[in-house]
Amino acid sequence: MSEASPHFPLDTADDRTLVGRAADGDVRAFEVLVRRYGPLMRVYASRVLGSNDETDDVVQDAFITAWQQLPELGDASVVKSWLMRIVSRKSIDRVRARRPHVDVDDVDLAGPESATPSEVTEARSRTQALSIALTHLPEIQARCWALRELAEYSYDEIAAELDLPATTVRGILARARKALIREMEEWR
Amino acid sequence: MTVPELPPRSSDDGNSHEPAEDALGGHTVEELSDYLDRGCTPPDPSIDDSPECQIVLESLQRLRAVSLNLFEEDVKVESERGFSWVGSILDNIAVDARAGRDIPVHHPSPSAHLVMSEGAVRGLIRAAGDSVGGVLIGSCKLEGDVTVPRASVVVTVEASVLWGERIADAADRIRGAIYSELMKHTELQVEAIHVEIHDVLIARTRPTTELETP
Amino acid sequence: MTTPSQLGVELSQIVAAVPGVQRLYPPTHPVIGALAGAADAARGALTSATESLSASMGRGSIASGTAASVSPQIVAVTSHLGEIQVAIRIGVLTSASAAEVCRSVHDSVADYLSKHAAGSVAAISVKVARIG
Repeated sequence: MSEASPHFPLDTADDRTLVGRAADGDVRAFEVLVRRYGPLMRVYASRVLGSNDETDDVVQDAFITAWQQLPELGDASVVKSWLMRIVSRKSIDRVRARRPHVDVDDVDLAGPESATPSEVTEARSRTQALSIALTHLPEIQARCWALRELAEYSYDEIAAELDLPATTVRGILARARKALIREMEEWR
Repeated sequence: MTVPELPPRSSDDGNSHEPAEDALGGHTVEELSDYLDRGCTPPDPSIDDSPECQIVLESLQRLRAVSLNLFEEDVKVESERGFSWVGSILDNIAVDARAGRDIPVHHPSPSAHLVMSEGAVRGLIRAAGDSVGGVLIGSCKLEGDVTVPRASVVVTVEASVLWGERIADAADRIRGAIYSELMKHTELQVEAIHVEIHDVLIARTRPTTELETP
Repeated sequence: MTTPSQLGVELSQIVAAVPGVQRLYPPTHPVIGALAGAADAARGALTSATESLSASMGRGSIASGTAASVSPQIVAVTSHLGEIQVAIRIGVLTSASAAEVCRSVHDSVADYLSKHAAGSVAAISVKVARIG
């Protein structure tokens, strides 16, 4: 009977199974989670960090923390957003360490010179146009954008993470969106 | 330090067609973003009936959609780039952190301190359950004071079952496989083995069914 | 007279030869991975302070848990006031009973110590850290 049953590969398991096993010490199950969500976390981390240089370290740190805290994760169905929170925290810590006294005014205002429209208009696709437009945003705007749009943080959560008033975050995000929309219109 | 009201950096270049806030019926882009985030509910006629607001809302919506597309594309590219970074993560996690309690193994000599880790026993249980075809064990709990020699324990495992397997049969086979492995390798007195089937591959939304040991 | 470190090497070979033993693990609870450097430092301090010889804590084998080979000095032997303490951590195969393998390891070590070690045996700790 059991010989006839097909093998059930671990990498097709749902998150709940993998989280349960990893919490119990199954490294293979943890590896499946790392492969499942690692690429997402890497892309996200490099958006928050503003570069790829520290992505490896930050994502590794995030997964080490995740391994330690997995047994306390009550609801396995939220593992994806839980991992995104951890990698957000690690990325922001890294940014803070890089520049201990972030002056919002400076950072927000000291964006690159106005975008060269040709770069955006020559983009092959809408997504590439956005990708280029994002590089033209001041760092703090790009970071808030990533937290809001990619990790779906609320304004209050972004404010808490970045030690900024929520009203400031709203303003930063509005400026980011205005700038992105403007550039995207140029692409069209 | 307070953040000063920023000049509209962009409209300085003079080539922006973005409506001024006056034209948005007193609404700001922030408010429109919030409105969008709320799923445009409750409906606000002052926004819904304003063509200028609608233009901005559509732009914001488009931006959000493109943002998600970009993210998905980036993740795809990242996945295709390979997984060379996985190894160093696995090399750096503290596997021992999951050893759990020490389960004693009997020996007549007073100088002998023989134990197996709870983690080792959980691994044994997982492997036993997985060896039953078409199922995959999830979490595994050992209840009872296993640190006492020949303790009585209740084992609870979660399991996923491949679609098409009969759940009650699968649970019986899992229970049997776990029981015989625990008998073979440990000195635990197994009081009960609960198998909770929480997932069926493909039909993932199936509700939890608990099957008790007779 | 056999030093604790020599004894550790010899016992590692004895343990590895017990049927059912798949591998040996470092017997202490090592601080792993990101803190491996600290663990190395701690081991140095421990070794000099208590004359104990902890296992050769190769990072790869501790951290990944995949190294199959048995390190030569992976059984910890401590000698204090003529009393010997031995700590062993093993992974066992599923072919034999884990509890039985655990006892066999103890008995093999006890037997070896009674023939080759000076001093009395205060404790032999054997921990099964992995089955299969």
